[in-house]
Amino acid sequence: MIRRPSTSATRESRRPSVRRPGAFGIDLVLLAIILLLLPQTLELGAGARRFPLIMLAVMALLVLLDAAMEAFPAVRRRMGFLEADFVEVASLDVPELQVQPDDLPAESARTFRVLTVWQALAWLTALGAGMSYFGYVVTTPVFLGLFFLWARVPLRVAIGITLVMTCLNYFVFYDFLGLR
Amino acid sequence: VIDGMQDAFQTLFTGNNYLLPLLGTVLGLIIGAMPGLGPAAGIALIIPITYGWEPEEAFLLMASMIGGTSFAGSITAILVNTPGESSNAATLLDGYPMAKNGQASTALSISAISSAVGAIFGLAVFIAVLPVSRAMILKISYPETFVIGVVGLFIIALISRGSLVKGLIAGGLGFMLSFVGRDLITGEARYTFGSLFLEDGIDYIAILIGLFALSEAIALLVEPDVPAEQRKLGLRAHWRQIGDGVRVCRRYPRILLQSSAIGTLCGIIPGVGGSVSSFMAYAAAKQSAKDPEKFGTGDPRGVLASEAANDAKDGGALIPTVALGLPGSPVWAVILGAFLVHGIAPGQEMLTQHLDVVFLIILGLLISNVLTSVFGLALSPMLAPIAKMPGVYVSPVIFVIALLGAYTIGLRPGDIIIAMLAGILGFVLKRQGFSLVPIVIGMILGQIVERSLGQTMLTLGPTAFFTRPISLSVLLLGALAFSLPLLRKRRSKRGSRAADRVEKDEAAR
Repeated sequence: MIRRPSTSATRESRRPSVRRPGAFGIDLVLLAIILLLLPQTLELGAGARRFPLIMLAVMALLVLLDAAMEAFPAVRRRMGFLEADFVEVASLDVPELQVQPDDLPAESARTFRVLTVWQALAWLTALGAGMSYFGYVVTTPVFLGLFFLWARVPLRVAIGITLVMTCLNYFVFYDFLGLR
Repeated sequence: VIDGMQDAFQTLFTGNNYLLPLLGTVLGLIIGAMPGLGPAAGIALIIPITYGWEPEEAFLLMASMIGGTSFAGSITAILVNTPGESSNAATLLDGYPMAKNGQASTALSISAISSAVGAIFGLAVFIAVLPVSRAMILKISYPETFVIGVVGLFIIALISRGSLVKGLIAGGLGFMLSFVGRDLITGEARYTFGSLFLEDGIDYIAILIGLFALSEAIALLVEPDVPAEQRKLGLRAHWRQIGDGVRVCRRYPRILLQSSAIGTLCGIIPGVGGSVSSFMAYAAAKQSAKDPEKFGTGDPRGVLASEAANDAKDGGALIPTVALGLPGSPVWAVILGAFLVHGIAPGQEMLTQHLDVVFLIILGLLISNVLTSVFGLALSPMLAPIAKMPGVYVSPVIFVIALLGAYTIGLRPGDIIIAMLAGILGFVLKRQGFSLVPIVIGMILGQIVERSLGQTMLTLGPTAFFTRPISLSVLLLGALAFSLPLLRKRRSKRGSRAADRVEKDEAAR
């Protein structure tokens, strides 16, 4: 009897037909960027625009293909060979390294806040804006202190990390290395 | 050559010079562990301190720093998914998943051992080809560099996890980012939108920090997924893991040698450098594996391949740097500047009058690689717990260090904003199935490829890509790399259809 190989191709053919609006949205944004850059590229001199123009054309084709695959599951199924990990063959069982936990007590359950995506992005943006406008020496302790308080991190940990990072920033980067 | 070696050993054991490799290694480890502050930045900071030193002492210290930074960059890549420098970016593909699976010490010990083996291999090749290096380098010209760059990016997209089309789009995005700023040949400003800051171009280190460090830190905050039972491992468990790492290195000698050879070869090609070498070695290990789907999920072979190539490239990069004055990577460009500061001209003069300096660089690299391996093995039990800290502790620290790393590139606040935007972009793209690796490779290769294309068209014409033996061979290799997996898939699809038919026949009976 022939053994059925477990391959990406067979898995691909059985993949449920789902639309992925997020990925399609990214393709649309990329297309908009390409359209925005096209007139700028055409205004450049012959030498400066040669490679960007080639890349814009190639990118537009790829993005259109990807958008078609995201919008129409039938196209994605047909182009399945491009969809999954391209370099993939049947798996052979190779013994994996095992994690060997010892008898030490596990850390207690989390009590701190789990952030939503928007909250995480807002904190990062605040830090980035603060560092570029007020400098890293001032922004770092303020950011870390506020973040740890807001995220309900244990006070001892919060103070420890904030102090270490503030000292590192001031004594090593600002004072010793002279990064101003 | 033997006189040069003798002089180098004499200098090493004169006064306190034998302490310089130790000092350089420690400095390298500290600098390399800071995202964005790689060996190039570290050596640039050291050059002013060495103004009054003898050139031999200065280059012994600098070479030792290179060895230290290479390994330290892998520590942060493995533990916090933040490569210390771009050439460690391939290490995090499997190193970080290993750390998340509770195998941080194994990954660190693999990195330490493979780094040492790779470095020794690269330097051995350098010593062997030193006499014929000049003739060899002159064979590689613009068409070869262009073809190697394009085929290299294509292969990176091939081996990326997920969709090939998305991998190629990511690579194209990297190329597009590299176009921002003044054109290298015509000097015209491109895609700057009137901004003076963008006229200098976007630094790929800022993008790299954002894509890898910041996007992962965001993910750590919103998807805290470290299993509680893996939080703490005792010292014995760590040493067991280190033993596992040693066994992995002994189990895959072919990958170790193959990756070291790739690293050395990539190092030889001027301007291609370390990032490409580790990704190419990773790709080759994945391509030649019987179970490539395990790569990217915490496969120790991924760490082995990328780290061996990363350290082997330094031996290769020495060849064009000292023989022709063409740096193999950014760090060697800084070393080249240091040569000039100390009044040493690379090329014929370097290989005849200053051969002792060349051998001191080799000694510095060798000693520091052995020292970092020892430090790496000894320190991994202390370092590994970093990987298991809750995201809410680690992420804000990564945010600060990463943005500070971006600022240190050129002390421009704009780089902080670029890194921040790249972090958000990386997080969004990764969530939608895009691989981030081709973006960085595209950015690194973009300028090299564009310059080579322009120079080929101006001097040799478009047919040069197909008439020169090296570029034609690389093109054929690229075609083979694309068609082999396709043929394999087709064959396995036929096999599954045949199996379906047999099953149907059996059911009908």
